[in-house]
Amino acid sequence: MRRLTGILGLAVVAVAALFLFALKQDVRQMEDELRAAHRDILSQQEAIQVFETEWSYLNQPARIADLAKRHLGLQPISAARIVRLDDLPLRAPSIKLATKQISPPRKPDDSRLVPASSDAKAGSAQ
Amino acid sequence: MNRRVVPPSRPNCHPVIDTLPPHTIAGHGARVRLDGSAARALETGRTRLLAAGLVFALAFTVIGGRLVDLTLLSQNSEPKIAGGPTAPQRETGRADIIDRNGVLLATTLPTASLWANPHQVLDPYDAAVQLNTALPELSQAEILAKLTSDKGFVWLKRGLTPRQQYAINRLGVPGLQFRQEPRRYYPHASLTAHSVGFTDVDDNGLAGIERSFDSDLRGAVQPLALSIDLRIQHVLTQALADTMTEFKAIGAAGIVMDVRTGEIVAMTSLPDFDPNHPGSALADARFNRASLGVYEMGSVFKIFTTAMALDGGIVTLDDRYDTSKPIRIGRFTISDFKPKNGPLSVPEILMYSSNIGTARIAMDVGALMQREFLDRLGLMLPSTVELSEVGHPMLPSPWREINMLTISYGHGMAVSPIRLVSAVSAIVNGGILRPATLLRQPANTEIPGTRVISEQTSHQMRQLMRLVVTRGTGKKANADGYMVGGKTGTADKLIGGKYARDARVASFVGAFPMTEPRYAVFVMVDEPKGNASTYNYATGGWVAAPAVRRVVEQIGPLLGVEPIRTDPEDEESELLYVRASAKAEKVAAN
Repeated sequence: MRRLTGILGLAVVAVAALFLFALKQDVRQMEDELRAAHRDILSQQEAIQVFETEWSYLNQPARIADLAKRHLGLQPISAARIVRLDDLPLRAPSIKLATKQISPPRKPDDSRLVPASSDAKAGSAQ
Repeated sequence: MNRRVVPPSRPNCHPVIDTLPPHTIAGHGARVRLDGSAARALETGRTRLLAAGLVFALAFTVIGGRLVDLTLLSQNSEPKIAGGPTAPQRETGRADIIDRNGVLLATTLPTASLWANPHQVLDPYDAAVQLNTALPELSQAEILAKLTSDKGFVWLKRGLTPRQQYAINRLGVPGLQFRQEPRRYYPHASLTAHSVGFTDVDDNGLAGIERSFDSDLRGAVQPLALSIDLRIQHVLTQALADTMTEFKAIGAAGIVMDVRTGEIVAMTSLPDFDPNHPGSALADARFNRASLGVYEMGSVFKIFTTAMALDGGIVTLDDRYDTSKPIRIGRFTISDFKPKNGPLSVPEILMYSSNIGTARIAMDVGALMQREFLDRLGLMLPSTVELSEVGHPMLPSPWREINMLTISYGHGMAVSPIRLVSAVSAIVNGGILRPATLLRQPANTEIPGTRVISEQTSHQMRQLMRLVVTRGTGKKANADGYMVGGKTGTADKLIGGKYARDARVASFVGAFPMTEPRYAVFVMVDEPKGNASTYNYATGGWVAAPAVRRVVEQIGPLLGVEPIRTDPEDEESELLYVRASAKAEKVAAN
């Protein structure tokens, strides 16, 4: 009986030790993974920072202004083009709206743009 | 413990011994009943053992209980999730600087620097040829000299871009190594050079915000938000650069300020420099004309003379002054650029920028009050803006009568543009002077300030400044719909103690919309030369005012200022309107 208790106790201790060892290995492995993930996060953060800097660089107002001028034909809004909603005249109900396709402004000399006959969607894809 | 002196324990002793199983004494194989002194000794030993056992049992119970408590029972203070090391923060050693909309202005990037151990480079010739393709700015001979040297470590190129690093990695040349080094980078280069400033290679702030917030930026993680709006900054810089080219000027400066908060929305000084390579910039380019430079501002000072006279009740808008004859004081003569005949009213003096008229107003005001008023406007002290580059004003000492007269129209006293804009903001915003700041202020908070003029005077000054633009010298600043008001200024430059005839500073300071000013705009052009399109005039009205109009037209929509539609006939009768309303206000004040 006493012997059995001793063997049982030893077995329990051995199992517990084994279990603890396995658990510790698991934790160690997970810690390694965590460290690797942290390293990865850091390098990703650095990459993001580089991209953000490049984004800011590419968004230099002078560059955007030049691109807008060359490709979009946009110009600064003049004050005359800004009106309040209340100032707009009400549409007379009897007049039928003209169904004219509105296409983006294009420069006639820009050969890369699609011919005037194609629809607005193709023009804006340029 | 002596049992003999403790009688009650005795009766207990004997029955215990009697009832206990007899002790076995090893070796004898027989049961021996002990009695007398031996039994007593045994009894003492047992008791002591029991006591010790009890103490141990208690200790083990406590430990066991605690073990159960810790392992099986959950505790409130215990976190539900095991806390591991938290995600790391990127440590750059220096916080970013962003504009008011969050656009990155300054950041620290980990850059790779290329070095080599020449002993490990197998074929220096081949390496030099290959490296030259990736880094064309390094000559083959230069690389070869480094790679064939007898050292164990040579820098080839520091601060590589990611693209360059990739290209070098692709070459696969053995013996080349990278080392990570943080480097300060300014994506917008020269655009915000003077406000943001720059650092040296060791990340010490040397100028601008980088210098004044050096210790705050170090180690901080949160980016520092400036009051600068990059879009406005671009518009202002572009307008100034165009004006400089058009009039072959040597420099220019401009400021856009929120008159309600004192925030500097844009600040430009030209020529500028690239803060990524500050070493190659000329001293003149690094000089911040907007905050460090002090200039005699010329006629824009007439705003202050008029305001102090109106606020002090010295003059009313209906008072007239004779401007037909120049004023002679000692060897000085004060005359007008474009003389007008007859007595001019106070609004007309400002409209036509009459030196004589303004000097006569100043005579009525007096030197003491003039000094006190300019001091109240903060024009006697360097600006409190968050830059170390702030210019000290140049003041006459002593403040004689002639100084009083010339200062009334902006000569004989030099102030920095930033101080001037702060003062003008106070004049138009209802009379509250707020310190100029380069840091973004929290939205919808009242920035404390000091009252410098009454609301009524501020209202009158707005009308007068609007009049200058609609009818006077500042017509070219009239941005359609934005109700610009302001004042032109042209000052001859002091060169070698004498006023130069052909070197001048042309300026315009204004605000918009004059009905309820939101932003003050200042433009100053250093030594413009007149051209055919301006009939060879190089005055504030011809040079700086058009630049202000261009700036206001473009930034108005960006800043969300609603254009005001005005009736041309109303504009025509504005002079009368100013008079009438001034009278009405006077009646109301009485």
